Amino acid sequence: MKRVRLPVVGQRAPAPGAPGCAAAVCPPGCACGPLTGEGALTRGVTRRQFIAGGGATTVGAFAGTTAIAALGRASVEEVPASGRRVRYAPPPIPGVKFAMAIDLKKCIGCRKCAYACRIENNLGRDSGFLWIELHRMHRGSFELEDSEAFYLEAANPKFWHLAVGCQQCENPPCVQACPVQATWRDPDGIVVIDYDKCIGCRYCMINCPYGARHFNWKRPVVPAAERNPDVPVRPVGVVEKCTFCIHRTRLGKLPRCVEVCPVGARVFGDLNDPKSSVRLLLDTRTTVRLKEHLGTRPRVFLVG
Amino acid sequence: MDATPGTVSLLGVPVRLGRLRTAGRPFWLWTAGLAALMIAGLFAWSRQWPGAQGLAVTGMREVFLWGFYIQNFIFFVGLSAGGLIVYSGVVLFGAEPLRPLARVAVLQAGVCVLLAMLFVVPDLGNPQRVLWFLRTPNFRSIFVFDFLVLSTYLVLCFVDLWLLLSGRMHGRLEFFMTLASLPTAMGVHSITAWVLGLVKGRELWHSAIMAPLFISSAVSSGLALLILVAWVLSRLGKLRLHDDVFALFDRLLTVTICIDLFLFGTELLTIYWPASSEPAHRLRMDLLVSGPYWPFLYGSLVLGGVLPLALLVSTHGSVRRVVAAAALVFCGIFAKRAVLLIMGFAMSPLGVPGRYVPTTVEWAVTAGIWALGALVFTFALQVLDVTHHSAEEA
Repeated sequence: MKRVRLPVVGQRAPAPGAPGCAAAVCPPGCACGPLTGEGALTRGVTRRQFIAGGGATTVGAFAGTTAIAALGRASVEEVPASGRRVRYAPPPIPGVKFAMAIDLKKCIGCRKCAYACRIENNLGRDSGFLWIELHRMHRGSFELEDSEAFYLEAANPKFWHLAVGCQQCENPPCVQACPVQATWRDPDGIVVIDYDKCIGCRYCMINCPYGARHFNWKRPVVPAAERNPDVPVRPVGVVEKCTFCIHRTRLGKLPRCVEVCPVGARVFGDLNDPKSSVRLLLDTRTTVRLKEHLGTRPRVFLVG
Repeated sequence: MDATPGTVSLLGVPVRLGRLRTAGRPFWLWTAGLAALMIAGLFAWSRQWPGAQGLAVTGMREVFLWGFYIQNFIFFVGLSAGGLIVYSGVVLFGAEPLRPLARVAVLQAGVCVLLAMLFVVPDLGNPQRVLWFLRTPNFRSIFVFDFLVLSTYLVLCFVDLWLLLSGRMHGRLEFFMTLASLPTAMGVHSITAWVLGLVKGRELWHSAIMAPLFISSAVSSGLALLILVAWVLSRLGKLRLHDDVFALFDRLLTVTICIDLFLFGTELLTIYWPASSEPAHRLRMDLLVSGPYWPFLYGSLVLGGVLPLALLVSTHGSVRRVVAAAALVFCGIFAKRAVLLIMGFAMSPLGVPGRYVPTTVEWAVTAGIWALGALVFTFALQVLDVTHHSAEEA
């Protein structure tokens, strides 16, 4: 078996249960894994792992784009004329305006949301990114350049924590930047990507002020036993990001990050529903949005 | 049109295939070497395809999103400037000493813009989907306009070259063609600058100085390349140039370097002047001014500014010094293209540091594309009357 050396980004968190494991709240056998960002880790991945992970039967140079899904179109599964199996996300529910609120007073920076998201959304286990990036911020400061993204110890009272994922902007620069219209905003406010169309130029990532979009430099490795059948495994060479768990929320369920948050810092709901908890928070508490001066109008609200 | 044996006429352009038969051993060794580099580059590129290993074989990553390919793309867009600006100088401002260089200059512009467009392809994660550019272009993306203006410019350059070579270029037509090409050339540099400058999420790129700065760097690097080409051709005895030419180049290059330095200085002042400085800007620029990327910044300023300026000021018509200055500017502006990428990618918008070193694959693909350009240039010089100029063009 030919070993393919891949300079994979990200650094390894301590083994579950070891001192310094992401948080005190981590249960035994938690999914602590590679953190997002540029790091020192370089790991070899065999070709077999590639294929087992990718799921795509790849022979020719450009054949890697079969059995891919696109998001944001009608019906759950279809077989188009081309004969390719393509899975689509459920359609948006009319009149719904999705939003999320993150209570900064509650968040302890344990990264449970980020790791649960990785499992839920079939993120490549060594792709070098997570859809949710946590920043450890200095008290009294909102300066992101001053923050630490690679911290190992959570719930340190000297810091506060800021979770950043796709902000599902109402005025998304990424959508404006995509040269081929491979990404757009659906009526319920979810910004989606067509993985069958993305040419991989990464100009959307360059335009995103939140670093929320990620590129598949390599084919994502997702263990077959852990693969979520509701979410497509992305092919190599396309951009991906948080979808507000489109496969769950459009069916009336909560995003996975909201479900797993041990301190209830995340709230999700329909802004048009006066009784939704996210509406209640917005109406009763002080909220800010990340980099509001840029005019992107995020649908993720930070509650003070 | 003469009927020298071994000459065929292609769309009215005399193609002197006979000269290939008389070409010596060095010519074929040189072209074979270039062809080998191209094949190696093509093989290296195939490693990047989605069916192979993807862009993981490059040094680009999560934070450092664009690398060597885009650096070369910007560089070659710039190099194409010199050619057309010299040619329009001849036509619009009667810079007659440069007339013998008109055809070479237009050829340089065309080949460079072709290479620039080619450099975008290996940067794509899914190059096989590139036709979406034409099928569903998003006209709110500046990228699409860059593609349009580059294609237009490419066509204009080769139409210009065809008119010149086939002897169809006459006074009025030449004037109008130049009137069309010069704004397109400005558009090419401005819109490429705006691909970076119109990004509000990247602090150091989001500056209105980008377009003028791109034009000034483009003109000085493009002029530098033309000086080098003119010098090599006159050394090879293919071109006889009046001494005035290098004196004129001396003055042109001095002025463009000064403008380039001034514009960059303005930008630095905005970033560092106490009452103007913003931490997000300053922190990122610090990485270049006093951080790990300092060789790129100071390299580009010394090679592309201070040293050539010193050489040019002390020239007094020395051809050798003008050529040396041109070589320095060529390297300096290449480094400056890296500085641009470092400004955008050394730190993510959330303050996460990035890291980038081009891999062997990137070097090989880049060498392959450079070789393609050199190959086109070599064959054009050999079989086309690029170094000639007829009286009626004047």
